[in-house]
Amino acid sequence: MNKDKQLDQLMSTYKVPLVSTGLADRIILAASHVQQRQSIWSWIGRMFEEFKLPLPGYSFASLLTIGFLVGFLAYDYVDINNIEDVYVASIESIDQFLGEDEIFL
Amino acid sequence: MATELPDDEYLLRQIQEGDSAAFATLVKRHTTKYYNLAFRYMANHESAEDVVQIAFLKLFENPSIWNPKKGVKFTTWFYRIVVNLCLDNKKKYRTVQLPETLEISDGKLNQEEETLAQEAKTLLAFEIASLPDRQKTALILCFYEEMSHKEAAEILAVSIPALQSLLMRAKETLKIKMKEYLRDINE
Repeated sequence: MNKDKQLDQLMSTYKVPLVSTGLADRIILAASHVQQRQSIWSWIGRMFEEFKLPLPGYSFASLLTIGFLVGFLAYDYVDINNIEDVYVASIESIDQFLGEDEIFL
Repeated sequence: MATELPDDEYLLRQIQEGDSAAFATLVKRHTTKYYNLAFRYMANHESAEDVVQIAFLKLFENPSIWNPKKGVKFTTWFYRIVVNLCLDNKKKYRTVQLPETLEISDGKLNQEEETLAQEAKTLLAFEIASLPDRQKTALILCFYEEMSHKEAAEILAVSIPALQSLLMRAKETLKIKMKEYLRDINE
């Protein structure tokens, strides 16, 4: 028999002593005194575990629609031909503004 | 009708939600397997049990360290945890405990041969525990835990050829250290 087989045979005779019968119970008991740590990320992850985004096409179309809606609602129409709609600064305030800058010069 | 046992991954998800019963099931299912691994690593009964206890408690304390999305089986991942703990605690539990009891003879060997065989086993346990870490891990995982080379390579984070080389070197070392016994026992 060659040395490799002899070694394999010898190695297979190496048996581990039996584990203590109470080891599992000891571990379980010790765990009952341990406070579980929950990372904030895993907690957040679990909160959103069931949340799924719709198909990209639908997401894009929805976003576009919301964008148009928000755009139209926020749009403040100004008719530049109507002088009442346009804010024109008074001559005094323009002079005052320019005058403040000239102090530094 | 036989009820299907929950798999490890399901139990781990339960543990992550604070289910201690799931933890108890997992511990009872795997304690012996990981104890055997730790014993072969450290050749010391108490330290092997300590390592297994520490590993399970670490898992219970912070169950999110196991990430199912990485696609690694729990058993493979936990092998890595136990092996790393064995390495970390090597200095703490330096004593190698040699087998104390002689096995009962099967009547085929005479007293002298039996003593020699026992001596060989004792020395083998010591020599395995004294191998360089990576060689020892490769040998234990492939020979004693009967893992595939792919799985063992994954645990050791090496390529398959590198694992095979580690295995070969471990066996070569053992053959040299055990040469007296290999000749005496079988010739």
